[in-house]
Amino acid sequence: MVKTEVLVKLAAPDPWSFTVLDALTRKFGFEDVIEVQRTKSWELTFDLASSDAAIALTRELLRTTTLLANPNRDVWTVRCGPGDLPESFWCSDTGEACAFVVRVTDSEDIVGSSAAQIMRSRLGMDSVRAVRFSTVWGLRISRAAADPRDLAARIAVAKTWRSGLLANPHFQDATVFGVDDYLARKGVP
Amino acid sequence: MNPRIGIIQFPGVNCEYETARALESVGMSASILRWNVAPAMIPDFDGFVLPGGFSYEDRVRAGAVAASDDVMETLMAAAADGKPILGICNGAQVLIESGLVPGLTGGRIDLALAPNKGMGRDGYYSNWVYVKVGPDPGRSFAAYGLKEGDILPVPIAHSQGRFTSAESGLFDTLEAESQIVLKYCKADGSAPGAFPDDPNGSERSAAAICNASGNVVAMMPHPERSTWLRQVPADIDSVWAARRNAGLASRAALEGEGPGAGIFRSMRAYIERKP
Amino acid sequence: MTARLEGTLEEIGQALRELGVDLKPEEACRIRDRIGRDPTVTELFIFDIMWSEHCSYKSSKRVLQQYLPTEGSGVVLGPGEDAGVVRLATVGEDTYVLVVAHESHNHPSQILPVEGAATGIGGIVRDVYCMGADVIGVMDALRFGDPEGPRSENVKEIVEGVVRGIWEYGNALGVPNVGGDIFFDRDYDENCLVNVIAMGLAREEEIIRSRVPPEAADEPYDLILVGKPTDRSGLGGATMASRILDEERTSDLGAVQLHDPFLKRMLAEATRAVLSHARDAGIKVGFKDLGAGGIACAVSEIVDRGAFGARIDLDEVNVAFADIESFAIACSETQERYCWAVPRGFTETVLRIYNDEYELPHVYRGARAALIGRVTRERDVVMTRGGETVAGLPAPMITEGIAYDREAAPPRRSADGKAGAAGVVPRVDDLKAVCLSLLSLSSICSKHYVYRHYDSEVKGMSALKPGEADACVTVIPGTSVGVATSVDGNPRYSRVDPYWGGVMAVCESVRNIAAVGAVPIALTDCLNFGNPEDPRVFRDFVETVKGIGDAARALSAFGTDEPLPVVSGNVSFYNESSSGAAIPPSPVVACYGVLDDYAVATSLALKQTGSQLLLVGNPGNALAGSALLEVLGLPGTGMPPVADLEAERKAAHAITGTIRSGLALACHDISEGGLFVAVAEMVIGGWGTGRKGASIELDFGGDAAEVELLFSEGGGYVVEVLPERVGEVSSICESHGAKVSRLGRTVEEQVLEVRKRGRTILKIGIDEMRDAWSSALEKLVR
Repeated sequence: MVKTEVLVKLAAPDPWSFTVLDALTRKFGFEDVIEVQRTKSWELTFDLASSDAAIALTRELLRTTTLLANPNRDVWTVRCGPGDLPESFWCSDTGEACAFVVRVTDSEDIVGSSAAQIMRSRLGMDSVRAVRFSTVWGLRISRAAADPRDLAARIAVAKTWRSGLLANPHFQDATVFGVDDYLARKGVP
Repeated sequence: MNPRIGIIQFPGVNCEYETARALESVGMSASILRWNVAPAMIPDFDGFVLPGGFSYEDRVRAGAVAASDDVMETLMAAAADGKPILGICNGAQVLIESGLVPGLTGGRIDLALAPNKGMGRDGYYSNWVYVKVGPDPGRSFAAYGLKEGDILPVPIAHSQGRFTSAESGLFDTLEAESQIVLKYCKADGSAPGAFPDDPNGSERSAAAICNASGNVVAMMPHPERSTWLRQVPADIDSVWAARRNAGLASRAALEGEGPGAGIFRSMRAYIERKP
Repeated sequence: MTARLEGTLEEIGQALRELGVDLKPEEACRIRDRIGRDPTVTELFIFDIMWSEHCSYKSSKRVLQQYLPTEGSGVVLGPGEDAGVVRLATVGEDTYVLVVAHESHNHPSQILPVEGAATGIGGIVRDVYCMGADVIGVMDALRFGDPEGPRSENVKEIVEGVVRGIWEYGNALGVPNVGGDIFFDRDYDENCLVNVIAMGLAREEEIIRSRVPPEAADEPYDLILVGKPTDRSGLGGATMASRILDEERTSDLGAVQLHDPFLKRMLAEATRAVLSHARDAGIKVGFKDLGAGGIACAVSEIVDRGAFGARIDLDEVNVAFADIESFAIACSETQERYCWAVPRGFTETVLRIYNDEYELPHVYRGARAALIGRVTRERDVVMTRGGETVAGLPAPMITEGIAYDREAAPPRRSADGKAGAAGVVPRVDDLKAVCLSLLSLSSICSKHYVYRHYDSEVKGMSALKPGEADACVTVIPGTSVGVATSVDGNPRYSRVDPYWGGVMAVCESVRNIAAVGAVPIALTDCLNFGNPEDPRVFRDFVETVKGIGDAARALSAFGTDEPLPVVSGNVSFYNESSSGAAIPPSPVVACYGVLDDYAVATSLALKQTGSQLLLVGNPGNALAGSALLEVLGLPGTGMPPVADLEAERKAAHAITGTIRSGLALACHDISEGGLFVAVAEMVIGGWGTGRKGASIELDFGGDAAEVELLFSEGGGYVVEVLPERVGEVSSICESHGAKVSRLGRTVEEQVLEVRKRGRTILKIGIDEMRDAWSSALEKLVR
């Protein structure tokens, strides 16, 4: 089994990120949050022997269909193994701030499983074993914050009223990474 | 004096006007309040409705951003006062995301309204479904005037309507405490089985859940879209449809009450109940 | 910056291309001659847009003016502004009007299906909102390629994306979907059609014109821009290629048009507050949405219609990024924007409502209401940036546009249009199999799979929902008045004969309105064609418009002899792919009707057993372009559908009269698939829940072949009536001069039985028909 990950971002200002930043700073009182960026992550699991073949198939999928991304709207990158994409993919500039990545996945991933079904039945991609869809939030937090990582972790999960936002733990899993940690993952987890 | 209901207009909701008409049709008065009015300017309402729609376009998660708005503090105080608060569809999502429902542990978010499952695709689903009134209807304001086992055809229209929880045993508690006010069912009232009678895969087929005190209700179906008989499809399998067809070409009959009016009537009766 | 138009036409053409302007060199020289100097770059962009086919209707406008009726006693505002306005009903002191707009968003939907369809809905509702009306419904007419053809995967993605775009936008905005239609055809493989219609409700005195009011002659008026920050949307330059992150990115990203129903909803609510302030205080305002041509064109139009001019300071415009060019600020078609002309004393209130009360700057980054200029008595539109004039033109010159007389090839007619012309009657060996194939044909089968994505009930005004009857019925709260809506256009007819295709689009949309007992009051159209510079395409266009005009004149509304006015519409040319494949002539016609008492409208499903089925009108022997021939795989030959507009009108009046008298238990018009499909659908019911059978006799048709009687698409209605009321229905029909025949009755047995001369020629179970009908669409597009 080989996994690839496609990270997709809008090629235009993302209204969702703006709403999240506005809510975090004005309503939750998390004024140390400087920037929010939203990225979609598609993790594809192939029954293939080589990473090259998996990457080639993923790129073919991106070239011939708009299932994962549309070139008229999105920018994306494909990776398999430790990533080499710039931090700026999630945040415009880390500068005087810490960047974190919060990956949110529905525990019953209906978007991912629908996509997998289309790939197999409609596109005849028999080697696709699974598709997992996640929303990956990039957070830029001021170093002035008492504990930036703790703040990112709080923002990640809504446990009590106004404590967090990005995931509801009753149907979503949230994982917090430093940007470097996310990219350094061996292969795609 | 007629009970006075405040309808909270979160940015992006879109059912506030017909909800006001529905409340008025059963003899209550309704005022639409912009979400950001100063708390001091909010009159002393007898109850509140959080209407359907797409507050903040469901960004992040349906209801999640609106649940953090300041007006929630007013609603939390009203809930603690025992005033009825009805969240319809997006309003239900706001109540869940703020922890007001089921409200078992102060301030904790114990439930989610997760994306629909079971229809073989993701996204929005709108249809007419049947819901059945659960046991001890008098314990929540929403079924106060209804009878256990009453079957109501009502429309649903949502992407995220699946009541669920990671808390083990939570639904046993809700069931034991009769907090599941309405459940999806087949036309004859039997268990819904699979999609489409079960439209979203909700735990215990829950369509509406109330808090422990019964004065805050999160309801996914839209009673304001079945408040008048003319809103009920003529061709669904229900005594309500038969009633509509019997009244064919009679406007008086079609302007009569539909199944959803029972929810608003219940709210009024609850407010006017003798202590 | 001045554009230098020097050298040969070829060199000028080259210079224009480098600027990213589509104007022809001759057109650019015409501009130079008119203004007596070289135009600025911004001015060239203004003319580029105002003289585009989309804005100027340069190829179509003379044809439309020549053939389409646009006036009538109920018309408040015909074509010309953002939307047409027609009177619905007077209830007490209030006269209600319907505000309707109809457009295409074809090309964007082919490229970016979700966003294209969504911004299509977004654009059309803006046209209605800006008239001061509340949008109470949207419809969509969709034409897709063949999901089983050579581009299957792409077609399915487009279907899925377009449906998603419509629901994501319409549902979130909170406007109910009140119908539409879908066709699949290989000729749309590379050019899908997404036609969108919005209708709004207002009281007549609430209508706001898209013009500066006359009061501006006596007191200072400001111009306020509201909405999204201006970006480079729609201005070429931003190439769509090379968007892959790990390649070098050179293009500008400001051009992607994302839909934002959230911002639109907030704008609608804030606008409602502004309008209510203005009404209460008796303040006269002008209001217009921004579309193609952006600020420059909207400002020019709003001031020119009031015979004023404007001074605009582009530095005051809220922009999405700092280094945006002047021509882009002036001409970008950024979504979700409006322009107000208000008296200066009202300006602060308008800014406060949008920016503070409804918090626009927190709804979308950079969104707000901004004071960008003022109305002048001089009729020039002058735009400055950094103190420098970037455009200064007489307003009438900007708005006047241009017109061309295109060459049309000689008309083609498949038949001479006279009744009785010989058509080929195909042989059908297995009648039952053909019937089941018809029920699962993509344009006939149940559309519930698609409807279940749409919110048809928000606003709580719906009395008949999509699929339940031939038209949707929306009730004006607190009144007995219902509004019926339908949209139609069958490319199979237009392919056989564009003239009859136009005629039939009108007939079918009117039939649908009549079949719920409503009186048609107006039409709108969208005419989708290939390249008008091709004389054959232009001929088809002219023929189609003639057909629509003739039918609109012939089918006068119930109780009048006035033509049905075409009050708004749109022409979409250049629907062809790079390989030159053009779409068939594709007129899409919407009809709007009014019911004084909505309670008479019924769903098409049979209501009880033991009632009589009557046939009103005559479906004739029209098989050309029919669904039958499509199912049999035969080319579209034979007699085109409507032969007699006179009979069509009489039948429509007869059925309207019948239903208005409260005599119809159910009614369905005869269209695609003919009498068989009409009765089968009544048996199955719009929700697929039918439990009443029907038995019909074909003896009304004399000697005609049973294939013709069962499958002809020449119109007529099937109506379910209580046995004791048949006499009343007959006399109503006779009083309108319409033919009425006994067709059969409803029965306990759950079948559809067809008999001829006492012999059963077809018997199909309800469940079998339901299975064929209900699941076909999902199977096709998933």
